[in-house]
Amino acid sequence: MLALVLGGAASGKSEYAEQLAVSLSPRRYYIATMQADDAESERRINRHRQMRAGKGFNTVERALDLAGLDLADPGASALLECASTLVGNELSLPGGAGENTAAAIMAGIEHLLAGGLDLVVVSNDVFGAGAAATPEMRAYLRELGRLNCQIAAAADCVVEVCCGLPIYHKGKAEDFCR
Amino acid sequence: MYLVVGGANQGKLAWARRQFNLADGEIADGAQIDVTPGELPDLAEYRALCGLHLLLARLSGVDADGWAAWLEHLAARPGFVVICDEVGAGLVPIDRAGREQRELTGRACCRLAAQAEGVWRVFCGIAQQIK
Repeated sequence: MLALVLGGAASGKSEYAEQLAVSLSPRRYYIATMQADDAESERRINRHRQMRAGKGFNTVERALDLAGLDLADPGASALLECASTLVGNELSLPGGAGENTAAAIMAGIEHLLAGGLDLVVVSNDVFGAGAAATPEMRAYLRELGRLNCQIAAAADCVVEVCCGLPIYHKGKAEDFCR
Repeated sequence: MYLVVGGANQGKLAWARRQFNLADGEIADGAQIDVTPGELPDLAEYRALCGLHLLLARLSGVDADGWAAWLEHLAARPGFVVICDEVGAGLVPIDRAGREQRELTGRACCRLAAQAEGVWRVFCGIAQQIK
């Protein structure tokens, strides 16, 4: 089962996605993608750690090369947070996938699904604020837009979160919960 | 409390005026009402607040507890209408203040929505009830 949870910044998408991953299985993985490179990202990471505390997630850190992550565990759920950070990493970190970013991350998602996981992918809606100013920003929007479409096409459910409330675009994630 | 959200210039205010029969004098304008540093505005004389995101950007010197109490108070007012732009659907702002501002706006909306009697999202003038 693959679910895509989308939303803008501070839309409540992480809380929703966490709850979904918890309801999907008693065995849970959290695939963390953000590298702490300053105090602000450190604070973000800590906020998410606190939110997850006590919910039984095994945290796996993976900033690049999702397809190289071996996490086969049929029946377990995994929360990938988030596709938008992975896109930024693959585009900008040494050893990243560069112009093959969307395809590389999608291959990673398929690899995780092949390992029997129920996968919840969090991604960002960053497409509502007009034109990008630089070639780097354009590349980011192009790769993330492509990836979101590819995940949505493969997904059983696509949920947009607005003010913490779900708007169902495809399927209904709760139908898959135990 | 009712919450109306959506992108900028989507017809949120026009829709809310019709839906809730709001007259001009009953709507506090977040961009205009008087604000005092360190204080949160008392909206008792109004039935609605439009531009919550603009009001948030004008406030200063208020601590987290003050915020929480003010939002609780708004959320608990029966029939009060809050209108706010969704500002989180762009690239991460380069300036720190921009990032903090959209974080504040998004969290405030999540908080209000959790307690709201109804939440609508307006897109091209068309309202979708999401709660």
